[in-house]
Amino acid sequence: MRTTTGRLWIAPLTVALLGIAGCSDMLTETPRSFPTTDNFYKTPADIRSATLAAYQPLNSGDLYNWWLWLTTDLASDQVRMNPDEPNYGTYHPEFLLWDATTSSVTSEWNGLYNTIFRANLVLDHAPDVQFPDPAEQRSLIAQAKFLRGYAYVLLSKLYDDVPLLLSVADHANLHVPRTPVAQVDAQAIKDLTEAEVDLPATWPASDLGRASKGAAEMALADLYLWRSSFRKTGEWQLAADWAKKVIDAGTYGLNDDYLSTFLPARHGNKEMIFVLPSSGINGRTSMNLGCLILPRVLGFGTGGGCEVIGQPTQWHYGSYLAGDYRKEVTYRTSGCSTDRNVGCVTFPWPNVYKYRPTNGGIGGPPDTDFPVYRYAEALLMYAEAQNELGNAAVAVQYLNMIRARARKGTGAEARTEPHDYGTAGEPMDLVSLRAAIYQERDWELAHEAKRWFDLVRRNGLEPGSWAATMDQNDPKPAPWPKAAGLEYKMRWPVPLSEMNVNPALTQNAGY
Amino acid sequence: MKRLGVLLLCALLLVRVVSAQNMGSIAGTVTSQESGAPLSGANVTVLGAGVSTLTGADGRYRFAAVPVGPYRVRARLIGYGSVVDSGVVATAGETATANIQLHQQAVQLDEVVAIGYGTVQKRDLTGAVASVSGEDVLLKAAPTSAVSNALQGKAAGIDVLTNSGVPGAGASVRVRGTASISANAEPIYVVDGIPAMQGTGSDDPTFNPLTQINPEDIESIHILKDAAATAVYGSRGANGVILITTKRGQRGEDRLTFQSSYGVQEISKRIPVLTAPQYMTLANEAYANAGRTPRYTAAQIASAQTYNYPELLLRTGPQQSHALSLSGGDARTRYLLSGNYLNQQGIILNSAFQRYGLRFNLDREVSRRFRTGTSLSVARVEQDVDWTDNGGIGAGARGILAAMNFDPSLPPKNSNGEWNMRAIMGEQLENPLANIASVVDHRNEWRLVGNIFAEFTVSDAFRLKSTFGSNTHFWRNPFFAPRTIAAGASLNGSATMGTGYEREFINENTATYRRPLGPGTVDLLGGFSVQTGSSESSSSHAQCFPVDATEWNNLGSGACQQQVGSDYNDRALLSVLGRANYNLRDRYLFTVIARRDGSSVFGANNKWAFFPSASFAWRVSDEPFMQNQSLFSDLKLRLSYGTTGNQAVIPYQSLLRLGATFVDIGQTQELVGEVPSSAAPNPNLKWETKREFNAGIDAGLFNNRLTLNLDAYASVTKDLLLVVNLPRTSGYSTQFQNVGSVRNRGVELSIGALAVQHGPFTWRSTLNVAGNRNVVLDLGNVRSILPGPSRYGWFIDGYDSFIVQVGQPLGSIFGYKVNGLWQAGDRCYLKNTADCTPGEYKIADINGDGVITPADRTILGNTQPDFYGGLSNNLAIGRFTLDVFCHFTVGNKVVNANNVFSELATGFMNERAEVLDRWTPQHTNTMIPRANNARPRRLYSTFVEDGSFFRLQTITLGYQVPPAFIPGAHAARLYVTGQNLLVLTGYSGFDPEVNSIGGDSRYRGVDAGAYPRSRVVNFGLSVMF
Repeated sequence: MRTTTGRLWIAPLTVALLGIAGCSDMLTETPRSFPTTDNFYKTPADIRSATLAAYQPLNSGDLYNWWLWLTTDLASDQVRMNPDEPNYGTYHPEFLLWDATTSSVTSEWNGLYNTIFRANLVLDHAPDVQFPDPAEQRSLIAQAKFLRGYAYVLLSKLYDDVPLLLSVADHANLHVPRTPVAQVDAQAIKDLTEAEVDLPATWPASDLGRASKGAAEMALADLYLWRSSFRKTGEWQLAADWAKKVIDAGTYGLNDDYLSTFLPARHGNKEMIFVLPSSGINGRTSMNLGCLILPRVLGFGTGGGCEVIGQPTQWHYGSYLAGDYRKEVTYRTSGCSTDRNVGCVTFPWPNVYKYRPTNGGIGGPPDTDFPVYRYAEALLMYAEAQNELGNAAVAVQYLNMIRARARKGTGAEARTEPHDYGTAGEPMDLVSLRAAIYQERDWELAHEAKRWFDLVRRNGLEPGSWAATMDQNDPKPAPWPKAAGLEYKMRWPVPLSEMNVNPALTQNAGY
Repeated sequence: MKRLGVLLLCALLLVRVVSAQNMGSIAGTVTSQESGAPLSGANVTVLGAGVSTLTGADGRYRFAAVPVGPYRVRARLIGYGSVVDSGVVATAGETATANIQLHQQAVQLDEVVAIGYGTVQKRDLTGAVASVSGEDVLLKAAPTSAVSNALQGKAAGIDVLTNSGVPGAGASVRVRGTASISANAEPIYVVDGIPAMQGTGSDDPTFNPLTQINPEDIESIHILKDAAATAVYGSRGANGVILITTKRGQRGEDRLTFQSSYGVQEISKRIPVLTAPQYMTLANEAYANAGRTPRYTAAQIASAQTYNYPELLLRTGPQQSHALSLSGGDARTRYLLSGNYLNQQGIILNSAFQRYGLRFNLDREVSRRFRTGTSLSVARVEQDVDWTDNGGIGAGARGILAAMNFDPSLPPKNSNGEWNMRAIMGEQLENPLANIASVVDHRNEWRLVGNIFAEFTVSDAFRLKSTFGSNTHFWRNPFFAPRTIAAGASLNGSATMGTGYEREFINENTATYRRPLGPGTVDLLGGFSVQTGSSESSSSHAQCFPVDATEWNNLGSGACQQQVGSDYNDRALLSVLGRANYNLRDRYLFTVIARRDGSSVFGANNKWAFFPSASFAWRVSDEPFMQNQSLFSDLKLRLSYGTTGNQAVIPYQSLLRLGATFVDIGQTQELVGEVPSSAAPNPNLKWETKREFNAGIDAGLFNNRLTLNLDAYASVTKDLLLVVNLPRTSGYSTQFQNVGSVRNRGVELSIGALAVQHGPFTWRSTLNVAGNRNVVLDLGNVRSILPGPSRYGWFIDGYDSFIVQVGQPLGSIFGYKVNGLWQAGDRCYLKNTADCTPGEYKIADINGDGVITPADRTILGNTQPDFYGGLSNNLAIGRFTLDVFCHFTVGNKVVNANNVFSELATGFMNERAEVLDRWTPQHTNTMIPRANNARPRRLYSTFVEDGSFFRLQTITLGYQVPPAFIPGAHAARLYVTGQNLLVLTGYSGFDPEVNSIGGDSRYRGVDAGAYPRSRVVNFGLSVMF
């Protein structure tokens, strides 16, 4: 009996081993709710999808849908923090309080490398995919090159030296060092120049938001202007040439009504060169504009919404020439709430209102596109470059195109202000005209994430101007420090989270 | 489907039914050894035959039909020991007599302990296992929504932190400290042998299956603590194992038991807030000190009326619970059928928790060799907590905190009787009363848990058992905000419906073999198990409804913001396990356990892992040299060492996943692209591995009137499942890796005493206390990790309120140290003298650079207790019983995040009345800073409070009604229970036992608008017919 059971006890072990052997393939995961990279980047449709994905970071919270736009606005002298914002005391950009851990100045790094990674996925895989239409293949590659080039332009403008990654394999190097900014700029110029060749001049309305030739030309003009001023490289002629190429293309022009440029009813109007469309369908593809345009006293911010965080500084609001139509339409000082208990209210401080979503910014996401590059800026870039090249007359001519349009008001008005520069005895020397062009950019491009960069790059030509302007136009209340002494903040810090995991990185001075 | 097929194949088991044999009888009387009196209600079991019965009023019992053969007959009774008569031989057609004398004792040493895939007598146990009887669960926590909560203070080394007072509150449970950083560190729950679920700290019944178990159904709970005990659960054992055994039918008469209780709950502590004029004055002062023009005119302040929103929100909450069970059995079939209903209406308006449950347990002896049975339960849970809990702080606050912060001068409704939706203060706030009265936010759960087993006795020594179990869960969670409140106003209503279906199947097959070997006995267990699970969910959302009346029931009529989503995932776990016990001369006990687990959730290179353990126990009191002493009636030493694992990760983490991303290209159109997930793949992803050493002593003194259990342990968990940051230049942001290690060391002590036993008066007392020291040993390439924002995070500067740092324990609070307030004349150590304005916080400049920056944050304390435990006293005088149960914890800190908006004197919103004591030039002797609207909201050390407490958890007075009073009744009991009648603590919030962020180990011990706790008085009756 004992021997029988003695043998029997081996049986369950045998069953166990056989059973487990038969079941082992159950441990292989085969997900059903998402694809893996093993079966992607193989077809033209995959490459189209991957290219679309490369556009997405620009419209994310890391970049123009929140931090890039909010930080550069608040940190500049154009926008002040709304003191009713409960994070007033803790929002770093307004008081230049950021350090290498602060998301207001580190998220941009993340968003830009997201763009570069996604562009590199396209650039690595697209050449190996057979397209029925080779032109489409070239266009997709050119779009990816534009996005990568533009991302490096922004990285250069924000951080100076940054890791230069040009293929998916480059991204796998977790200990990649920073590349000197001159090389980064050179690569950006190469990408943008190559992209410019293959990008179409225009896109149909259903492709609004894709990069066109004009977008690449503007990015090049932008970079040369930046380099010439901030880095004093003297490439004014290149800046002028690329801007002129946009101006002469015949594709773009000024709208008669300044405001109409931003209205959702006029998506993709002739003034828009590179735009981030806002779908208005769903929050995930719409600009987060409530935080700019919904005054707190109207009571829209609760329930997960957003209320005004930034408002024009007293200096900026007061700087417009009397009767400037742009001031009238860019701001509002009263409004009505849908909450009957609130009704119509006069605001204690003006609030931005040049972006006007169809739904007023409430009851769903806004449908107001965000301009990255528009024709007015091309004119001002050309004016600036010509001034620096010593051609004051040309500069004034192009500057006054902007002013003339502003005088048209709603389109057919004949306002007296802003009068043409020079007609009221304004000096025509290089420095005065430069100041006038910067001022015009402040008015014309208000709340388009330009002013911070202008303040910083001007400091290259006029050392000390950054701190002096900031402290004069947007003085910080106690206990916040003055800008003078914080000049190192013109360069943003390499994110500490990045340095913690990549010992090859170095930090910018001052941080 | 393919997996199910494989599973069924794996479940295939050869079954042979053996024909019935001749029968004999066993009968006898159970008496008290001390008094000789017959003991009624004693449980008598014929071991090996699997039959048991209860003794009658005369102490007699009888088993009429027992297969012939030798048996061990065991009798046991609560309050007495258990005695086994091992020489009983059932002879065909005759009645064998087995009279048993039971010995009264404080703690049962010979109780049967569940150890996973089997049971063992407590005397033979080699691992560290704590026991909680079903009676303890009921007596000391009734009524309970989640069974985990009932373990609080019941056993040494089990740290149970209930989240809040919300109806259906969950609890975060730690067995011997936290052994993991970001993976789920909750123990696994095994119900009737089925590894049913890993715990969660969630209040949401969708994620917390423990709320769906009826405490009335529980026979016993055993908590496996050391590696020797948990290794049999291998990759899921590292956080401890909680074995729940439900009641089963007993042979004998059919018994109908009815239990019913009613109670009332009332908030246990009130916190006064400012009146409207006081708030307006504060706001004006705060604005003035920030250089802004005051908000309110003197006339507005003078005429302001006060609306006390916290009081408007509160009510006296009724609760009731009812249970009915019918059980019994005959020679071959035993059954238990039970139903229960619990309805708890919370102390905040419109908050409620309801549970309906049914259970059917069946055991059938098909033949002498073949036994089968089933445990089936179905439960429905409805939780409706309508935005009364789980908010953030500031504008995102909900429930009582939102009410405390709301504008006290604004009436809840306007003159038309419509809700005033929001208060436009510095910060806009939604009307909390309107929200709670109008929002629908339900959790509706159905859960079916069941198993069927078959046990085949090949010979007396050799048995085979196969179990097939399933755990199926349906949930349906509607949400609706009407247009009459802020959340629905601008959108004309907002509605969401989420549904889900989760299922788990498990098949476990074991073989046991027992035979004498040399001078001892060997017990072997071998087995394999296959467990698969899958989960599907979908959600639909719409806004812009034509009417509010349809609520969430016609999502198609919502004209805008229509959004849908769905998800699917599945997983599998394969295991082979074995256990060998060797009992040498009944004095030296050796156990070796090994389990090999394969899990689908890990990387292709690391699917399988092996978890061995070994333990030894020495029954010193059974040594011949101990027979001449009388001090120790029982003495045992235990040693164990072993390895267990944690596999608590969601599926697919090791794969390179692509996900959808949405882009607006074109005019108001949305396109979709595919991108790699932000988490990088890791084909090497594997288990967390915990190695633990345990040494213990179990002793019974003075004839077991005093019992003592002392355990000391040390464990190191390595290969922690950590989300590691990657450079963003890589294109990814994180990767799930196995890095770092955590150590836990601790001591646990339980003392039980039968303090007084004199005539009708008995007094038993038990105390358990445990201390654990936790430290992070290694984090891979980094020295510290800031876990990032939690739910309240954005409202605290830098939003890092905790730090995980090498050399420090988990739960280290990270913020700014405040050393009092600046006073006029103080030497200013900061560069900017404005930072030293009198009345402002004097913040320590840790790095000495003269500026307060995030670099000046430091560790402000720790949320883990130094020690914690429970004290239980049970008195009986004749028919009266008094049970007093206390729970305590000492040395832990609580982050009182509420005070960021409620006690910082910023005037953004209404604050606690304490701010009346704020600093002014005339009143400088205070810790409340001056009013200042521009004060940064950081995590100041003033928000870190001592969370030590001693709570009178329950006090129950019971009366055994003489059965004659109720016709037909066998026994009846009346009782009244007071719950949470007294808390001794220095904490300034509602209650120091709070865990707003739920189960995540990194954020344990935060109070962010937690639902306040109530004081409860409960009246109950139970009758057995």
